Amino acid sequence: MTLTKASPKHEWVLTQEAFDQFLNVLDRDREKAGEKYEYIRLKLLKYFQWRGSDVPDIDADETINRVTRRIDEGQKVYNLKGYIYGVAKLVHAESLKRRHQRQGLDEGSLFELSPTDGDLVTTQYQDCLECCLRQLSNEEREVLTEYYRYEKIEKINCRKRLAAKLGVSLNTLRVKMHRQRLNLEECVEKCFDRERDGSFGN
Amino acid sequence: MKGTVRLATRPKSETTRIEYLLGLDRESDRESIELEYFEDDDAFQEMLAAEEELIDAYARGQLGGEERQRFEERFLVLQQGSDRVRFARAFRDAVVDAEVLETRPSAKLSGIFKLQGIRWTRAVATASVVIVVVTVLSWLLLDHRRMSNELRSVRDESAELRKETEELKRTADVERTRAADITDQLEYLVAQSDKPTKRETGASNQRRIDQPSHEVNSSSPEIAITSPKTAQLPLSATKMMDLLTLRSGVSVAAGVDGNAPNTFALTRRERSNDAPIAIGVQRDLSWIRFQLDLPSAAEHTNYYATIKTTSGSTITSVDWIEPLTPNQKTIDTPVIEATNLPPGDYVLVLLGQDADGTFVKIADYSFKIMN
Repeated sequence: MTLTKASPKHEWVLTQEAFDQFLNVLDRDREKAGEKYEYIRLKLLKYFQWRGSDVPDIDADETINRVTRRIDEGQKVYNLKGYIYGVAKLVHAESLKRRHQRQGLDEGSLFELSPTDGDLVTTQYQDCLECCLRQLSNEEREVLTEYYRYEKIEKINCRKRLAAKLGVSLNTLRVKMHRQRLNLEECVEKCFDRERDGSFGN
Repeated sequence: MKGTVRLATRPKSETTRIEYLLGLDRESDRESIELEYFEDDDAFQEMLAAEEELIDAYARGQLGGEERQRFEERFLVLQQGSDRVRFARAFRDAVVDAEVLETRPSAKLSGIFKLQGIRWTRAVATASVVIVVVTVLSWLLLDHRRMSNELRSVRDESAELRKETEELKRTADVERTRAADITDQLEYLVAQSDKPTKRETGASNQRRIDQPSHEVNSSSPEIAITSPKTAQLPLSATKMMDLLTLRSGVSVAAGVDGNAPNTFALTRRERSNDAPIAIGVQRDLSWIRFQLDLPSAAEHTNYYATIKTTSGSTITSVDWIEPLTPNQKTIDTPVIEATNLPPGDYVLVLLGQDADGTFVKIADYSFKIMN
């Protein structure tokens, strides 16, 4: 299939070729490029979240689209990350402007748990968490719980001890624990959604 | 920054990230943080960790005031933010339960290890203290024994020295006694030969005060030594009668013994009005000496004797060195020229020289010369 280049006169549409070109800029290795793409998207997602965007995922995708388009149009990008950040700032400014044009903040966007199924949710949620924790190995579970057990000074000392025990740096341990927690969160959310859908379905 | 984020003590960079997440930082700081985590993956990981810490802090109720409000405005407006807070709360409870239930054995074990560790530390500390105390006591005991032994040996040496000292004293006493005997014998022999002894050298110190024009002639004691003109024993009856006629309250000094007619014994004057001792001096005697009794045993080495008239005029004086013997109660003066003592009343004053060189009066003797 031959994909035609989008002309500036028409609205640009993300094509496979353009996306491949973008990935090729990230890394010649397709698999590594895919990892880098996910990582950049996560950065953009967090950027928009931390900037207070109400649609961070949309804003992140818009940023990637614009960058991909510029590359597709032949623009030479020497500092891709910095270029992406610059585009993200523009997208955020546009998004903020649109939000200010709407009537105030929607206070209803602050989600609150319904009091009727709060306990049920909590029990179900706890069950899902325990289930997901059991899926970890004993060592993984022990390290994870130990890492997040303490507070304040004891937390810092404990994490130093763990890092020394595992033979890794504190930074490496932090990254590993964060990823493991995110995976655990994802597992719990999926489990909870299944349980909730099942209980609501009943 | 308004308010405080009650999180664990963090470096300034961590606080900057928290401020960024809550939107409390300045625009200029914000862009630098964002550019950093866009370009540096490690910086982005630190931002994720800071976000996680912030969520946990909110779930534990550790945020207050403006921080809590900012967090709710930024993180709870999205379902994803609420989900993360819910997970943080559930995860915290699970971790606590895991500590109490699942990790109880290991906690027990770690507690036991802790307890054993504490006990081990205490045991080591106690053992160290005991070792130190035992070492010190042992050293003190050994030192005490050493000192006792030294004291014992010193005492033995002292007793030994005391014995030797007493032995030496006894030997000294014996020698002194022998020396006294020898001296007595020597004096006797000298008296027998009527030769001037060493004491005669004291005559060279004899001073003639009242007769300065007197010249030393053949009647001088030196010559007298070699050729005495004194009468020899036995005394003639006439001379005896001369002496005996001087009775009636007058003591008559005779020669010390028949073999020493030149020597006259004088007793010390107890009272000023004691009668003088009458001395009959033969006309042919060129010299005489006096044997003086002492109030106590002689203790001086250097003596000085002055002979004065009763009116106080000094006739002559002599000084000499006396070789002392133990318990010596008399002392002999050197020879005195008989011509210095014409018939008349005289007083002899005896002085002894103390250790500081001063002369002190020992006694005075009153006598009367008669021809």
